[in-house]
Amino acid sequence: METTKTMQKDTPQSACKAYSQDYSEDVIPHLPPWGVMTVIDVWLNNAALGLYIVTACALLLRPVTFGILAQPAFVLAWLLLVADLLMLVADLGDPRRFHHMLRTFRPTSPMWVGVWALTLSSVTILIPALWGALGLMNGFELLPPACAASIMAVLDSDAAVNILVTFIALGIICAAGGLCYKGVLFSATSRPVWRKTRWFSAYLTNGGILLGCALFIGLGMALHVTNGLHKLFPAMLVMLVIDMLLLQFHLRPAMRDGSSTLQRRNLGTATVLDAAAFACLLAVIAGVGNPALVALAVLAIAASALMGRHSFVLPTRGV
Amino acid sequence: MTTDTQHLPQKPRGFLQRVIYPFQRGAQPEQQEAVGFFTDTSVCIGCKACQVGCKHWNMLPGLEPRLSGRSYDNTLELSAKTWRHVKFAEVITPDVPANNRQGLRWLLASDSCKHCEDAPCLRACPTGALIRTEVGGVYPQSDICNGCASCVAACPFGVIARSEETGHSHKCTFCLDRVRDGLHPACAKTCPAASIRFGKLEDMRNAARNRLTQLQAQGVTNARLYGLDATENYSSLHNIFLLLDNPAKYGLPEDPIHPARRLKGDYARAIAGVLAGMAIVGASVVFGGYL
Amino acid sequence: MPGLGASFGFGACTNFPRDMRNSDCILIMGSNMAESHPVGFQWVMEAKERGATLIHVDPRFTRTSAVADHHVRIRPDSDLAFLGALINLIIKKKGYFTDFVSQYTNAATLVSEKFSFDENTGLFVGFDPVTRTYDQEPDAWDYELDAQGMPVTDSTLQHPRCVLRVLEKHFESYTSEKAAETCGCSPEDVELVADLLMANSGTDRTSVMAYALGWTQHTSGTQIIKAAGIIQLLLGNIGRPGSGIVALRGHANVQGATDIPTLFNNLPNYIPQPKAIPEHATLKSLLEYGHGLGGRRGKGERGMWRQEGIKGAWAAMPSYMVSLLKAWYGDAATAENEYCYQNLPKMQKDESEQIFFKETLQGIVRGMFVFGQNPAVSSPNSGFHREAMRRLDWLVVVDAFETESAAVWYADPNGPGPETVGTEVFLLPASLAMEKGGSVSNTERLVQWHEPVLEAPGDSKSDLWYVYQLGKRLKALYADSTLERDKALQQLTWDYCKPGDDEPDPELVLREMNGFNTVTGEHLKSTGQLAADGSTACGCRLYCGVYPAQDQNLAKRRGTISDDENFYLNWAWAWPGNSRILYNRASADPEGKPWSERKAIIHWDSNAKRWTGADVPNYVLDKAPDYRPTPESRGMDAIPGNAPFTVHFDGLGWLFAPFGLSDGPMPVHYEALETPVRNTMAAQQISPSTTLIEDSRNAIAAQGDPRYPIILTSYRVTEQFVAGVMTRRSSWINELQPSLFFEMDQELAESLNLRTLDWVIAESKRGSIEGRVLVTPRMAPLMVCGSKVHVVGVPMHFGFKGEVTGDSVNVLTALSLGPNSDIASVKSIACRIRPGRLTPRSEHKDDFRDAYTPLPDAPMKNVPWICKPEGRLDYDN
Ligand SMILES: Nc1nc2c(c(=O)[nH]1)N[C@H]1C(S)=C(S)[C@@H](COP(=O)(O)OP(=O)(O)OC[C@H]3O[C@@H](n4cnc5c(=O)[nH]c(N)nc54)[C@H](O)[C@@H]3O)O[C@H]1N2
Ligand SMILES: Nc1nc2c(c(=O)[nH]1)N[C@H]1C(S)=C(S)[C@@H](COP(=O)(O)OP(=O)(O)OC[C@H]3O[C@@H](n4cnc5c(=O)[nH]c(N)nc54)[C@H](O)[C@@H]3O)O[C@H]1N2
Ligand code: SF4
Ligand code: SF4
Ligand code: SF4
Ligand code: SF4
Ligand code: SF4
Ligand SMILES: [Mo]
Repeated sequence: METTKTMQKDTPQSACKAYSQDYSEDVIPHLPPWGVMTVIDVWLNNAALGLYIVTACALLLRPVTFGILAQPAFVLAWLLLVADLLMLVADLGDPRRFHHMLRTFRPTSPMWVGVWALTLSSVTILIPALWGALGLMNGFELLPPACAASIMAVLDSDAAVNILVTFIALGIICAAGGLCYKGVLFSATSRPVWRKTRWFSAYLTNGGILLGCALFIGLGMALHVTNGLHKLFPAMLVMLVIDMLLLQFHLRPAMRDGSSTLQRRNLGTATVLDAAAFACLLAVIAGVGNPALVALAVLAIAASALMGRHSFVLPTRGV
Repeated sequence: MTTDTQHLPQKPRGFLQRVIYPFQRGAQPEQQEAVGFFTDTSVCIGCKACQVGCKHWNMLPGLEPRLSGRSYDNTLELSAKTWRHVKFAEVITPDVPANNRQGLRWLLASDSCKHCEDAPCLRACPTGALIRTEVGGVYPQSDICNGCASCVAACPFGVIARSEETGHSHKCTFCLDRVRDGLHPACAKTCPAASIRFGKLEDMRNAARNRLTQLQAQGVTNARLYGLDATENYSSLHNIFLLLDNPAKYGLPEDPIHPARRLKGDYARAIAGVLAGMAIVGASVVFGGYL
Repeated sequence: MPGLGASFGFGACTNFPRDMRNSDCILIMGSNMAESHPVGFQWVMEAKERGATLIHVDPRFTRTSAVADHHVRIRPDSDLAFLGALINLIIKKKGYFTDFVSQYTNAATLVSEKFSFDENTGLFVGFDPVTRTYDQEPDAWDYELDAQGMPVTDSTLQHPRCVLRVLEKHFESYTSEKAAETCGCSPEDVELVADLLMANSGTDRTSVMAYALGWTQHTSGTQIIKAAGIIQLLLGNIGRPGSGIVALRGHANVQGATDIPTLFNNLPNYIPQPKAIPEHATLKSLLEYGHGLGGRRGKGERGMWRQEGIKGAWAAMPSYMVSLLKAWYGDAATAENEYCYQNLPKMQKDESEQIFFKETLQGIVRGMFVFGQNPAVSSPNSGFHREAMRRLDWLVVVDAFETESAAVWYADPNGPGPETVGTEVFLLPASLAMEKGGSVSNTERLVQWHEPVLEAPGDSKSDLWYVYQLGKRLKALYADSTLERDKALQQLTWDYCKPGDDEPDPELVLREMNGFNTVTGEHLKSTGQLAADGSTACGCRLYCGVYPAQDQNLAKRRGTISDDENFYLNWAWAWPGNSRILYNRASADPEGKPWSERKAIIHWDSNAKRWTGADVPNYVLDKAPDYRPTPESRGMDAIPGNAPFTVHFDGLGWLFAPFGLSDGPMPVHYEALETPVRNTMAAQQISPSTTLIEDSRNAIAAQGDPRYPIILTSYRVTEQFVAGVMTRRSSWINELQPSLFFEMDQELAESLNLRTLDWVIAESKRGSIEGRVLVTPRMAPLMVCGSKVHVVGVPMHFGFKGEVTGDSVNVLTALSLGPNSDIASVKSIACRIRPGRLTPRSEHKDDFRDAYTPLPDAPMKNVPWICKPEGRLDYDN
């Protein structure tokens, strides 16, 4: 009996050609149903919080230089943030249950961290944004003349300034959180491509602040409040270099066998746009005083950010 | 195990209750000894009864019927509508003894949620919709889930998925609604070949070890266990598999990595990015004028 | 199942599936047990876990093969060559169980001098080429008898005419090389299987065989099973735990349907239907002819078959027959009127399904009832069957769904427009099993009662209700007739309702089947109580004992089954007499001691003077092992105490069947009806007694026809159920196996330039079907007699109705009637395959065969959500 059991090994296996129709080529982890809305959400998140952080830093460090531009910038940052939040809620499978994320304490979940950070950001940033809005309304004489003076007086009071500064600082912390989680949401998953990109979160935070700079400058130019904007150029040059390095030497290799050629080409395009922005800014610093170049750089940075995020958030396939 | 449902919160009525309801907490059911599956693929006959049994018990809809051309597997994956899925791999592996002259083997295996000891999906869930049950399973509460899909990206096994119809994420519940009443899960109950075995986790772990020893004694050297022990990168599973080949052939990651292992580092790099950015911007704002 | 009957006595599964776990070696051949009997297969897996070896011999590598220790690939319809080689090897290597063979089989009995077999022609003595039956030389297959009329034996097994030597000579030419050449496997495969079987048989070990359609659906099906019987008798694998031949049945109640039966040529319990011949003219002459009526050849005066009338279980035939007539005709049946024997119709010719469909096509049959069957899909040559149904005046289909058969008048893609069909079709709603009570007799002869658990929707009624109502109306219609022939209806008892009720009660039917005393009305307790004097009535003698008292329906028993209990005698009731293993006397040696402890069932308790053990002895309880009959002994008394096969007149297992089979006392390998191969074993190509249905719609491809080089085989897959009427309506099933496919090997696919999911057309001489390709290494070409043969597999479940649709493979198959069981050969069809799709019907107005309406490209409906996958915890709605 014992002999019979082992007879199966007599099979002349050597003659067999290896063949396989199995699951080893399949992508196992599911792709979450995150689409274009998610891309826009990431971009809006980065834009809003980047803009806020840049504005806050600029205002706190150089209140005189940036005092005026900070007001519309805070308002814009808050509006972008609200848009982002709406996008995020709409992207849920069941938006009516948005608040379910707020009733728990789940710090292990990047999504939870992010939602709390964003919600708190929207509250803390609301104060500087209100300050900005009131300042703007005052500037455009939209406040009721009767109380305009008293409102401004209150705003100028020491207490109000202290409160404002406190909220701006708190806002920075919240915004930093809101900026940080986004990348982790992707990189700390099991999805091919995403799971390999250890620096994706840094790409988003660095890129977010870069995008913030660009929007800040763009806003200033649009409102003709260009005071001190050139001071941001060196920072942008550095961050552009980081951005390009991450795109070319981190994200692009990670995507090599995980996505379509188009997506990888888009990453390349994003790098080229970065390079273009870099060149424009360099030219401006070198003394070419054409505001169009600045505008071009701003647009290039915004477009590069969108492209980079788009091709990364929407992988088609993976290993 | 009891049929007691007292600990469940009241069914909400009216708008206000509906808003409040998710904030309510029922009493925690008493912790019980963990249960588990031992899926012995060496005896699976690929009958798919488990798949139908699961759909039947959980009243899941059928997919659009489509011939896939991939052996006898026409449903292809686990999804929000398919919580159990039987896999069919046709392999000729010259180095492994087969039962016929061609050297052909047909690997059959029934797959479902692994109910990971440390479940990435559960860690990633921001709402608490995914919970660890009193019997150690990972349970998706579809009345809490808001469809953020974090869990979908987190699961390294491609188990949980968000349904387009409901917007919520669904997966195997470990048949909590049966197990709680002392019944076995529908799939295990249906399995005619005892390929899906269900019971106390410890018993299943022992059964898995014994079966491996038995098979190896019978000369099936290619048999191996999957998910019995924690690896460097992943926890043990509450659904232990006995496989007859490389896990990859069955569509199981050879070396699953728990995504949360990267969480801290990725946050650190993100924060570094923010701080660096702020420093650069700050420096630039302060000193930029001198350039 | 005459193959089993001619080997052992009962034409039924000898052991039961759960007993397979006690086996040491399991040969599954001609069945895809894991796929077709997945629940029963758990016992096979348990045996394997206990260390048994599992062998699967099949043309395809199936889910059964996947878990087998050895899979041997053979060409469809070559089984007899394979089994013949096994017999040859077992005898040559002296691997048989000598004590068993010499004492429990007819190995030692001498065969008549007149017997001969011509190896060149492949025919036995007595063949009449005109009638194509063996009706010459009627006594030539008999035993040699001594002066007292007792068979002559040679216990040394050396006499050249003793059965063992005859068998040896008969299978001498079945060498493993020749078998391998015929089957397309290798000689080592054949030897491996023989060695495994021999190593796992004997006093302490047993092997079991399981088969189903891969053996039966062939012209030589009966003889394949006979060959298996020979092997199991040689190896002593019968009547013992983990032994025997497990004849896997199909539908839940197939065994019941043959017991009762729904066959044309039997009365209940294998009593042959009387024929329109002088010998059957009266009850008296019929009873004199004994049982051997059905399969008996010729009319030889001293024919062995006559022994059955006086010796063994069949000697009780008069009591069976009279009790049956009493059950049917009640008080009208009296000794004076032959118990209404003349009410029974006398069969004039073959009336099997294929024949009456032929007559339907010819316009002879005008109306038809179809109960729970779907011939438009499941019957061979469906084009023929569908056309025949469209020639009917009226057709009643009793089914739970609108089957293809019910829709054949308007929806058949191969058929004409509905305007040309004159058939009046009635579709009556049937309730399904869980909506009605009754009993089901399964593979293991177990009669199990079930209660309804659901209310049938709408007007649905049970089949019992329909038949009962039909009978009532017919009786009313003919109540006043004075014609002699209408007495059959007038005298029929038809009282299946409780007093004051109009719903037939299945338990009252069971009562009639079980039998009762016609005077006292008391239920009968066992077959032994049946009498030939009209004092008992019994509608189904094998079921006698299932309902021993008014309040004791044993089919309802649900005793608990513990894991180590083998026989669970308290679960329902099995015929005969609740024995679970037939012939279990053979589990003990001639002295009545078990052959071995490991394989013990029953033994002779010399103190109590009774047979006793774990199973109910399938034996006369108090017949001592040393009992020996005298030449004058009759009935069961004629069976010696060391002979286990009590249905046979000599009490022995028959390696050589002196009667019972119409096409030879031993099997011969003949080729399939349609095959590329010439018969390697004899000049005779196909089984000589095969009946073909001559019709232009039923053309048969000649052997080796180069236009039809491929062997197509049809089968079932786990996911769907036969004609698919019930399963193709469930989205849970359809997603698993949504459409017809052609499984083929890579080489064939490459030569036809096909890839998986390409569309192909398969054509036989009867018709064409289309489907998608599934290229797989599970199919492989076979080297048969030096040339390569490709086998293509197609599941049989599809039709033009239901949620998923597809062509029916039976469009390709042919009508043919194999000897003994009239079964068609659908497992080996000559066909050709070409890429492409069929053209629409509109382009082929006249040609019956190519006419076709394409099915929708993806015959997949948007299956609505049955419900949401929300647990019962969802508060949203
Ligand atoms: N899931 C499911 N179960 C079923 C059914 C169903 O439709 N679906 N049908 C039920 C019914 S009615 C029946 S009768 C049984 C039938 O049960 P099976 O007999 O197991 O069914 P098949 O699939 O028709 O054929 C069995 C095998 O025979 C092989 N075969 C074909 N020709 C030959 C041959 O010449 N020799 C040998 N050795 N093998 C051959 C085929 O490749 C196939 O694998 O199943 C029953 N069970
Ligand atoms: N080519 C090829 N042809 C084959 C075979 C093969 O292997 N190959 N297999 C053959 C075999 S073994 C078989 S058994 C046949 C099967 O052939 P069929 O018996 O024709 O097929 P089923 O699909 O089982 O049909 C059963 C029908 O009964 C109905 N039904 C179910 N329950 C009830 C009830 O309680 N009452 C009534 N009145 N109706 C009910 C169902 O709805 C269904 O329509 O096919 C045969 N045909
Ligand atoms: S297998 Fe996936 S879904 Fe299941 S518990 Fe583990 S991570 Fe969660
Ligand atoms: S989709 Fe639902 S279950 Fe999944 S992580 Fe989000 S809230 Fe949790
Ligand atoms: S445990 Fe229940 S839900 Fe999970 S796969 Fe099994 S049947 Fe489906
Ligand atoms: S029910 Fe059991 S045997 Fe059938 S496919 Fe599922 S695990 Fe395998
Ligand atoms: S359908 Fe019924 S008879 Fe067939 S395998 Fe399943 S349980 Fe057994
Ligand atoms: Mo059947």
